[in-house]
Amino acid sequence: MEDNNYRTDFELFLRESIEDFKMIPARKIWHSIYNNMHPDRKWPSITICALILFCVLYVGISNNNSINKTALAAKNQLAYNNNNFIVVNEQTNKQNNNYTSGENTDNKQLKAAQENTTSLFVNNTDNTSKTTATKNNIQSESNFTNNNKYYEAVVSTGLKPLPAKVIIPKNTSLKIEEEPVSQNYQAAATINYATAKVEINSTNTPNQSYNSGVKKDNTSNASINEVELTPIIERNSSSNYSENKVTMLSTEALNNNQAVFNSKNKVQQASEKNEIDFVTNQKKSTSGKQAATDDLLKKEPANIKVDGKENTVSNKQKTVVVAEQKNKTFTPQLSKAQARKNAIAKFKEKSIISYYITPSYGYRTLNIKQDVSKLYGTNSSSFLQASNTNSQIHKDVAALNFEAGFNVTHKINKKISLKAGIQANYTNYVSKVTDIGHSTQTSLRTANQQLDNLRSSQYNTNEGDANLNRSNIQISIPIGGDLKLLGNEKIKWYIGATLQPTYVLSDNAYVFSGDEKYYISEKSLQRKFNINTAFETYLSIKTKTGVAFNIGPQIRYQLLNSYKKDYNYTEKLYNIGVKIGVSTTF
Amino acid sequence: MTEEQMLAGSVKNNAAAQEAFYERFSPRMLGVCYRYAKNREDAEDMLQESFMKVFLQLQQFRGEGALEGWVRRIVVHTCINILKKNKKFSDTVDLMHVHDYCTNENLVPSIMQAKQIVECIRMLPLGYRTVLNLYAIEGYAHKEIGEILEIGESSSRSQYTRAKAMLENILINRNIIDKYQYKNNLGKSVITGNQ
Repeated sequence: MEDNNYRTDFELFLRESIEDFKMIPARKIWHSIYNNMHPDRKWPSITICALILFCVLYVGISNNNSINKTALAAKNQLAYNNNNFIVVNEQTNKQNNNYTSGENTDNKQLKAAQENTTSLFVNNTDNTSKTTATKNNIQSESNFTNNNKYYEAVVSTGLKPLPAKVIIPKNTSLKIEEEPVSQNYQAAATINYATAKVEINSTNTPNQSYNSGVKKDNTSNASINEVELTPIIERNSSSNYSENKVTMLSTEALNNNQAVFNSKNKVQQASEKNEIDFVTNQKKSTSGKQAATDDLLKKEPANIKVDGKENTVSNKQKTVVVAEQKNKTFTPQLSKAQARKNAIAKFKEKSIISYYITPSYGYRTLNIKQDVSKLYGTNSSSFLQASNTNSQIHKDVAALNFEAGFNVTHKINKKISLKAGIQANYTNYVSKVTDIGHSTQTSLRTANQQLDNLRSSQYNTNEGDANLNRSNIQISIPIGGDLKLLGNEKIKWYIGATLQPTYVLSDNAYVFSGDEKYYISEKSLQRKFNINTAFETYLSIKTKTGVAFNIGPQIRYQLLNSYKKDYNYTEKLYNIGVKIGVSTTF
Repeated sequence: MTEEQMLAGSVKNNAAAQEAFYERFSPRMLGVCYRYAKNREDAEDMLQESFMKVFLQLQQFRGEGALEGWVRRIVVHTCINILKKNKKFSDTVDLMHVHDYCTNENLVPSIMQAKQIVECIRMLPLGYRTVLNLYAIEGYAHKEIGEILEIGESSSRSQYTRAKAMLENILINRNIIDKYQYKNNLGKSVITGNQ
């Protein structure tokens, strides 16, 4: 390299003139260098992607019935491993030993049940015949098919009871008789809670009084009525061979304390809330009742003989359910698992899931925070001097926006529903600019003039033939509610509103230069977290398949500035569009 | 962060130190790249590749001379290599076409003189511009320029002479330099021996 002394004044003039010439590189240059220098540290973007993926999968899985069933089957298997079950799965058209279990059981469970089962008696109304299923004769199908059409029966006596699907002909009762237990635990039995799904043959008209617990299945040719029932085993402790009654309590009745479907297929209306006591053998009082407490349940496990085998059962299993009076209805206390299950079922009953897309047109509001010309006066440098009002010097136009997502809507009452979900938004508007074909050094206007830094820009604000897409991609969590205004079973009219915490995933941020002549690409000023709100009204049209189509206008408005407080302008995005979606039950 | 800490951290591949290093030198180095590049995007590509080389070769810096000068040399060489790789040196024009380029000068903003001069330099054909950048601004000798650009030393001289004349015309037309003053003062060589 030659010494400066060998240069003319022209070279020195050039050199000195551009000595301090600087340009601000885009931030992505550093990111590229960083990623190349540290290939193992791309964690921020990967982590965010993984987090989003996890959220989407989690929501999807938790709303997937088939996976829930798998989880339930796993729970049932656990119950089988620890408890004695009576599983009878009988169908009139079945041959050989093809005992398929109920809706939520399988052959493996059935086999396990057969090995540990107590006896099941099916007592016909004429009392002339009993059908018995025990470990020894459970495979004898004829025992079940002599007189009655028993389709399926799954009865759990376990700590974690199984949902049961039972078909009971009219005037037929279902009873359980246990094998004699050891002397120490003679009165011991198990809590018997299970949710039973009972199908009643159409030839047997259901009693009118339990219609509230019956769902009529119109799609079946046999016109089968189904009802969710919970069997409660009633133990007669006066006999060593206690004969326990199975009382079927409809889930709905259970939840609403309205009706009890007892072992004789009669429904009794509950006049008042009745209590049920829990009794253990060891602490059985003279009245035969003692409230079960946690202390009782924490006692050491003991052995109980079932089918001649010693089995270890917990004290919880030894709790006996006793009805205070035979003819009196009662409300049993549910196990935590069952209560949770019922709560989930109840939630799902009142909830729907909706998927939607919303094409829209989006624009922005723009306001200046401080008039810099007043601060600097007329002697300010050219690049800090404010121009006329910004609306006169640049032109922005609305552009196509898009959002897509899903939400879960939960009905609070007949008119009001709450909803929450996840949605992705693409917001956009266009600035008409002139591409000056090269970068130009200019100054950024900030609210705090101390932060006024030199930046580089390529576009000026004159309306030209180039377009700047002021777009960004957001992910948000809409939380809100709907109000039903009008409607019948088929068509309903709703209005709704949501508040949407929003995260901006990527954006094209262009801010104004100090003289308002240029657009500067400056993503560092973009606010990452924002809050949007949306208002909508829509029609919901229900089809025969149960799926509802929703359509209606929506307005979405951004509550916070798009940029950080340093920037001297306030920009708020909004868009107006049509929301189109489908809703379905779980 | 001091320059020593920044340098030591960058040699150890410390991300924070490298970022500080980048923040310190990238604005000026982008200005260098911009003088060689066709547009801003190309300049940023050059800058990215340059800093990759800088970080990879930083351990070779012996502390002889200014760090910025060392970085600048790598940047300039990287820019030249990229231009050679893209075979952009065929883009040369004769002096008679200077006026065609001057007709576009209204696109150059009059914000600051340095910026104006850079934009004027960028109006030159790429071959002229490169020689002028290397000789007048970076301080390379024509012999070195000939080796770097793989052209003859005399070719470098002639290209520089034409580039200089072209740039003078542009600067005078834009009133960045005064015609008479320039002819009376700036046009005189201090030492003419090595031109």
